[in-house]
Amino acid sequence: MTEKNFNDLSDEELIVEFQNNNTISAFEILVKRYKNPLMNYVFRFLGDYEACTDVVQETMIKVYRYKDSYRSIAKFSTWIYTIAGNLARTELQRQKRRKMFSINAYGKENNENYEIPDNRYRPDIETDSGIKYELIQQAILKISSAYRQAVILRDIQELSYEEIAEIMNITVGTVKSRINRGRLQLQKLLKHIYKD
Amino acid sequence: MKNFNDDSKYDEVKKVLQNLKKIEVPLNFEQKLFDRISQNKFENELSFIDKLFLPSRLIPTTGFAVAIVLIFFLTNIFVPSIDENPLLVSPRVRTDVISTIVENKTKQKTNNDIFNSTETTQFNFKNKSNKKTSPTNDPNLGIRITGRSTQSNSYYYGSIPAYVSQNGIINKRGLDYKQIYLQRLKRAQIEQMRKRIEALLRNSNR
Repeated sequence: MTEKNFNDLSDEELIVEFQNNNTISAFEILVKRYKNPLMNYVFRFLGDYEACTDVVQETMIKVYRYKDSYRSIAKFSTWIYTIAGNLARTELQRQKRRKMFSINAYGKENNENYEIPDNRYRPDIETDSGIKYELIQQAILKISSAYRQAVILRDIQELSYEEIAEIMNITVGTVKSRINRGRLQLQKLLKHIYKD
Repeated sequence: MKNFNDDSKYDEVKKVLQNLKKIEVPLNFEQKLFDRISQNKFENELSFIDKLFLPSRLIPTTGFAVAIVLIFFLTNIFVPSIDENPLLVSPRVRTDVISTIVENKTKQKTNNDIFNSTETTQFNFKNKSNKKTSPTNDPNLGIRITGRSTQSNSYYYGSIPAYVSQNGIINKRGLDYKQIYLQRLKRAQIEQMRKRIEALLRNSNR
């Protein structure tokens, strides 16, 4: 089968091809299809581009290594989003620990209070992507991680409630509740954006 | 019950989120990924058990364990031993007992009187209500060596008053001291010493 033919196949057919025949081309097409959506999802969740790139790379490597653990009963998108979500959560925990550790170390060495730098009004960020996007991203990062994940999957990635429920391993009702609560928190945080 | 299906009130939030700029991977993303895959860098990942025995984890853990053991032994070394040699320990002076003995002395009781009276054996050291005689400043303390002594006044200067009953057994009532159980060999040695001192005293009295 040529690469052109592979492009016509669905995600599920491609992963089955990769599982059965170890066809790298099939895997490459899956990477091409999912690299940007996953990058968008993980970046909105973590807010750190470098860490986000590593998480997406790790996700692709996990797909490559554990291709046999995929079962045809589930959608491929659900499976890959679950892997990326788990890795992103692990990275978030690691970042929190690192931040806490570095704050403690700073205080001890310099014997003074540490102030977390405020990047919101950095001129370079303002010119690159616009302060409005930066503020929205900051607001997304302020809501709790469970609500954040649900809101991103629904409103940014535009997945169905059922898919989100499967990715987050919760019921559809819980998904809806989390999305609503997340949106409510965001609405409060983004009030001034609407006025503009 | 809340209706979570009503999304209309969050239209503004949804619109803001949907209009966010899409984030894309860096240009060399795929190249890096396939380089990693081709080099099999991930194959060297360690299992949980292997990670437990990494030197970076094993060394601090072992160090901590050794430190705990050392601290345990060091603290045990500096704890004072309970087994004391009674011959080396300086006895404690008891003022309440001293005053009682002084009172007895002022009564000028003979040695035999003390031996024969039941008052001695039933003497209460802590009884301070005995106001028959006034206390003196005489610092002399009485130590009676044996119950078999007869005529001689067997009060000797020392720090612990040891009253002896008619049977020759030291009356320990009211004394605040620690009782130590000696081994047979030590007991024999002490007995031998006691006899020797007794003999010396008898000789000196003659």
